[in-house]
Formats: sequence, C-alpha cells, structure tokens
Amino acid sequence: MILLDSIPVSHPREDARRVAEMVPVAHHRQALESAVYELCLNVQQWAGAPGRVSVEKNESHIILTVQDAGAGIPATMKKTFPDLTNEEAVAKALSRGGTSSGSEWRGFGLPSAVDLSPRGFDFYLETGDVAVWARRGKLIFSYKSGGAVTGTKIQIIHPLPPRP
Amino acid sequence: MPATGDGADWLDEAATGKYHWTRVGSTGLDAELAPSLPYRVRLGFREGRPVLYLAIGINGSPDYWQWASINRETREPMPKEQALAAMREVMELASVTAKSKIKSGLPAP
Repeated sequence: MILLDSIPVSHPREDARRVAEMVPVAHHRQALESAVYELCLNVQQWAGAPGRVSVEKNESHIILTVQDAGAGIPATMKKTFPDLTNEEAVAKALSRGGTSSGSEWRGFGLPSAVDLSPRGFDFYLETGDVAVWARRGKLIFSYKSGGAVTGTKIQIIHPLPPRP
Repeated sequence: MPATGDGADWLDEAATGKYHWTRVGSTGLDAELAPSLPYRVRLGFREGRPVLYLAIGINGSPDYWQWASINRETREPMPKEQALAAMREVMELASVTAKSKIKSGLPAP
C-alpha cells in the first residue's frame, strides 16, 4: 500500500472533501464525503484524543482510514450501557441513533459509513478487542486475537478497476 | 449433545471426525475454502454444541478469531455452505485490510 495522504482531523468538512476527492468513484461521492465527515466529527466529539484521516492505495484497492487514539467504542459506550459486552457495545454504536449518551438525533457517523457497504464499498472497524467488516450491508464480527487495540480505526475500502 | 436445527448435521459429522477440521492446511477444508490467508479452524463445543472456531493469521501470527458456524442473530448453527461462504468472505475482507499500513492506536505521522 502506498500512503497518498495523511492529515490530522481538524476541520471535518474540509478534511472529508480532501480525501473523498482522491477516490475514483463515478457514483456515491457525496455519500462517501458525508460518511467521512461524520467520522471526523465523531473523532472531535467523542474520542477525547487526536485523530487522523489517511488515504492509501495499491493496485486493487483504495482505503480511507479515520483513526483516533481515544478510549475506543466499547469503553465509551459502556459508560452509559455497562451491561453490554464489547461486541454488543460496538453493534449498538453501528446502529442508527446508537450513541454513548443515549441522546436522540445523534449517532449517525458510524451508520453512515456502514451504509456505504451496499454501494460498492467495504467497511472495516477495529476498536477494543472487536473487529467488524461490513459488505453489502451485512456486518461480520470478529475479535482481535492479540487483545484490545488502542483507539478506533475505521476504514472505507473501494475496489479499483483492473488495469487494462 | 448433537447440533440441532436444520442443516447443522455437518457439525455433528465434524465432531465425529469425518472432516479434518483441526489441522492447518487440512485437505478437506483447504479444498472448500481456498483460503487467501493463513488460518486455523478448530472444532470446539459451546453450550454443549459443536461449533467451529476460525482464527485468521496475518504476518505470521493469529490476528482475528470468530465463532464461524453460529448465526450471530439467531445463535443457531449455520448450514455448512452458509458457514463456509461466511468464512471465505471474512478471509477475503481480511486479506484486503491486512495490506493497510495504518495501524490502530497511534495516529500516523
């Protein structure tokens, strides 16, 4: 993978536009930009730690990554929902309106990224000891064998057309 | 206790050793999964039922694991083809994300 760009999350709207423009998509660019914007907002509002947005590419895929070094989704969600397992906490965060504060009209960042998965993108999330992929709208849960990772890493993956 | 539910007989067959589920690169599973990453499948028991445990390796060590034969929503055993398709899919997805050089925790410089 070649790193094309990597910037601190500072101005979510501009950050999202900058990285989304690097993805060669014919459709759904607005949805992609909106999802990255929401993820960057999440970093600023929930992570409590710096974040970064990056773009990588190889011959077959381009990957947008939004990551932070915060407490991670399970730890954050369990402040409000202490009875959830780590997997349940992440599943709740991935559902529309699922926030650690329980407030209405919030919690659209992660679902907007998952919602890209029926549109030709794959989704990957790594937080705590949980790893989740989404493809065609279906969530696939796994655990990290090495235990919990620090922070949260979210990737939006787009296949590139084969070279002629 | 045998696996119960439609299409779960294959787990009973696995439990009785008809398939070589437990070895890395076992011929039966390799042929069916055509793996894109190193993996290990073990047969275990969860709540008395046979269940497959899938570990996927990246960079020479196990990186992910999951209960691979249980429907996460219903908690019921999955039919064989459905479980194998899910295993193929997660290996394919992991083989893409494994190529990323962005690691968790420390924001890239």
